[in-house]
Amino acid sequence: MPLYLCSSKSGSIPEDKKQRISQAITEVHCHVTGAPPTFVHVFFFEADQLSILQSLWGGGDSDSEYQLFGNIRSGRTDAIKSMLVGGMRQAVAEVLETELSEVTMATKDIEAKWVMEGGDLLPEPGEEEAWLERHNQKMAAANQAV
Amino acid sequence: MTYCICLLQEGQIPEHQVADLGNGIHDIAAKHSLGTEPNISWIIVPKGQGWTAGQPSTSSVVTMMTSSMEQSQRVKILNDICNLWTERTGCHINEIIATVMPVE
Repeated sequence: MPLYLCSSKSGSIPEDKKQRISQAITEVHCHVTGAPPTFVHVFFFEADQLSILQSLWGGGDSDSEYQLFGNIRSGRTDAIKSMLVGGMRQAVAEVLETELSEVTMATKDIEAKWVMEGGDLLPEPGEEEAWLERHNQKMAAANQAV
Repeated sequence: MTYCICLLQEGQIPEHQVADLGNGIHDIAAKHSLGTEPNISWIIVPKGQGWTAGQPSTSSVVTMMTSSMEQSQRVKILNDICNLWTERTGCHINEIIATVMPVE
């Protein structure tokens, strides 16, 4: 977590730009929130599959060509969310060399305590560094025990 | 009603193991008395479509939506899902992201 879903109405996101888009989204998320890159997942879906996911997770309809939808941890301020949305729309538009208005984005808050990653409940926003240190120590101890 | 969305990376988990994981999810729902059998949606993320930290992803993302519950019960279910994945598929614990959230 976060999990960002990307789609285009026409399925027109070029294959060779998907990694760059995933890296751009990861860079924006980590820069804005301070979260480690390993937390950031970016999945691309065709529009029909995205609609299935949005029907279950939420997310608004949009007439734009390119749609981003992010499941992010609760506790982010409106200012942070605005920076995430603005930064990611801009970054994706630049990679795709398209108008900013063609990229829309919605987010949904997910409680950190609802999510387990790496066998540990996710930290609250701002507590990532301590969480990662504990988690890495736990992984190192587990590796030594094997 | 309990819903479960499972996002799997193409080629990461053999088909026979997917059925096994489905049975495991049903067992977890029964063990924790989540009511009716969960409605499971399997979504395969094709190669080149899933990325973690900007690199090709090997992660499974399992999201269970069910009735509200105490956090202590949620943690037990989350641990059971993670153990199910690591034990049945051999994946690393860092390759399973599990969520248990209330149905809206």
